[in-house]
Amino acid sequence: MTRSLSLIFAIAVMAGLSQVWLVEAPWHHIYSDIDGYMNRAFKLAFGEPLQPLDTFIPMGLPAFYAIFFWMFDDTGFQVVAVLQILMMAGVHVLVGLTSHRLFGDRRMALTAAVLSLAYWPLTGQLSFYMAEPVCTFLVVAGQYCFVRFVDERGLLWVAGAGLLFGLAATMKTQGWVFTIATLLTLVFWPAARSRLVMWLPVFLLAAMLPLAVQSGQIRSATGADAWFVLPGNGSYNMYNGQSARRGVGTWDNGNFYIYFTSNAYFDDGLLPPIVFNASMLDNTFFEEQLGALWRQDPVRQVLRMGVSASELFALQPQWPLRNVEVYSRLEIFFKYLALPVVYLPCFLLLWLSLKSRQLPPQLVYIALPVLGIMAVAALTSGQPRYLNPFLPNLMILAAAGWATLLRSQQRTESRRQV
Amino acid sequence: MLDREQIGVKSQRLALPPATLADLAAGLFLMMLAVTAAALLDVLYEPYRDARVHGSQTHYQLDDAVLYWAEFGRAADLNVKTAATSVSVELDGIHPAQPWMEREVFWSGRTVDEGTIDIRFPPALSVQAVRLFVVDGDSFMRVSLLQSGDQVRFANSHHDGVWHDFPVTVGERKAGRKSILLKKLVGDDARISALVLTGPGGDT
Repeated sequence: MTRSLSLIFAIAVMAGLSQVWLVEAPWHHIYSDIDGYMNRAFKLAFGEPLQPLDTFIPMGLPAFYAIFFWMFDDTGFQVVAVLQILMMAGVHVLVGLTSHRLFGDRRMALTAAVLSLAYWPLTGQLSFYMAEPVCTFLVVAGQYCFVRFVDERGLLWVAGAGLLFGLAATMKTQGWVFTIATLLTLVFWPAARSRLVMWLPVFLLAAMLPLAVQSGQIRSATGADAWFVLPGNGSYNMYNGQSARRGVGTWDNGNFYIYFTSNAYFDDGLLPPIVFNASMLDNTFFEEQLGALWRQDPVRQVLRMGVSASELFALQPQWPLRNVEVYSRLEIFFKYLALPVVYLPCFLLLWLSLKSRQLPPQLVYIALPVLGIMAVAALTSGQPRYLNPFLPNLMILAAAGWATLLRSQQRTESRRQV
Repeated sequence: MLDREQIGVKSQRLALPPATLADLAAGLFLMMLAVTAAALLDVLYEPYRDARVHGSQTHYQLDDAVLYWAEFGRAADLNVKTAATSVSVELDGIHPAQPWMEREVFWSGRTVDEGTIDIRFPPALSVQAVRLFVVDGDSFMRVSLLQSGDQVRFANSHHDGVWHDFPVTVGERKAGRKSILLKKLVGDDARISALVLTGPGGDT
């Protein structure tokens, strides 16, 4: 197992390095809101005070980049690129280890790791600076820590899980899904419940620690009175996604800001952009606008939520891989390939569970985050790249699906022989 | 020809048992169900996509009492249709644009960044409001800002044309002057098609 996983790690590093070589200058592809993340990272690295609008986005990624810009200046870009490659290679290994811990099946674990390694959109994303690669590593590592905690107990594992999930939530708000899924194990997974109940305060404290640091940063930039504050983009993002416009902008005391929608369906029937005389940080304003959308046409909004959830799995080149022609072609190929190789066994697993009326809690724990990101996409928008941190879970489920089918075939075979 | 048993291939081991095949088929059916549900959602949502309207622009005709009515870029920079005495309009940075095809209001004045409309009128004329007709006739990606003092309007989703109202304040009426800024926010340029001054005693 160790040798196989080492080989997977080595191949993943080489795959990562090879495509960085292909892209040559990944920072040429920094644009849209990622440009904003970089600006904030430079501010943090060189001690420039943050402005209120800087707290519009989660602060984890700028803080992460800032460490390397502070240490290596511009060379920090290359250091981050290498770190991303190592993290993604680590993801494939952790997928194998998590699967092995959960199901005790070596073949299943290696299948999951190989699926994760082979799925190009996960490796392809490494050529670009965005929150997804780092977030993927954090949530997969956190999940491994939690599974190990269920197996062995231990302060380090439970605190590690909480801390990694908390850090992930400061990179991408969707990281919360993993904390919530872990808390839900108290309801459906007896083995996890018996351990987590004891250690719940540790888990929660660890998970809240990065968010508390982020909250402090936001409070000092905005002067907010509340003791705990989150980045300001929550209501804006909900309105942006649910209104399905090409962009939502604000005219804030003479300053114009806009975010354009960079979804896979960019050219496919989004409504024209809109600008409001408001601040992007004004959550109450965007909640009112969202309420108005629902009052105006609730049927449209229900349908929009369903469409957004399904767009996570869109068979189109996702941002930003579509910028590199050869990558976008590869991505489409792999997305089609995923239908029989990844999604079919997941549905097979669902069928076998329905048939046997048995749903192992380990499977539920792995499936919950995938359902969670679908719910988040329904509430906001379903950019396919949002699925990336959740893809490793799909690979574990797919491997479990194939393994269950194989076992059921072997059982039938042995019955026939008897 | 070699017998399958002779070369060591056990055909019954290669073939999937019917029960396994049935499970695979059931999984496939569930997956197709999910794909169909997603496709169905897409079809149901179709009427809400691309709400560009190619309807008429009959609302360009106003019933209000009009003191002054000018069109931008139709025949000249400013083509005056109806004019009360002593109203003057000066444009800065707004020039005639290429006409839009197959639109009732095919004319417009444009600015690639920002321009101003300076309107002067005698206080005795009691102008109540300035109304601007804004159309986005060639693009689906245009948002413009219209601003007069603290009156701020945004021209969003104006493919069919919209009248924007700017009430004339007491101070402006006394001064006999109102300025409106036209600024591009999104798109290639900001465009405006007509300007109207309304008030008592105007043509209806």
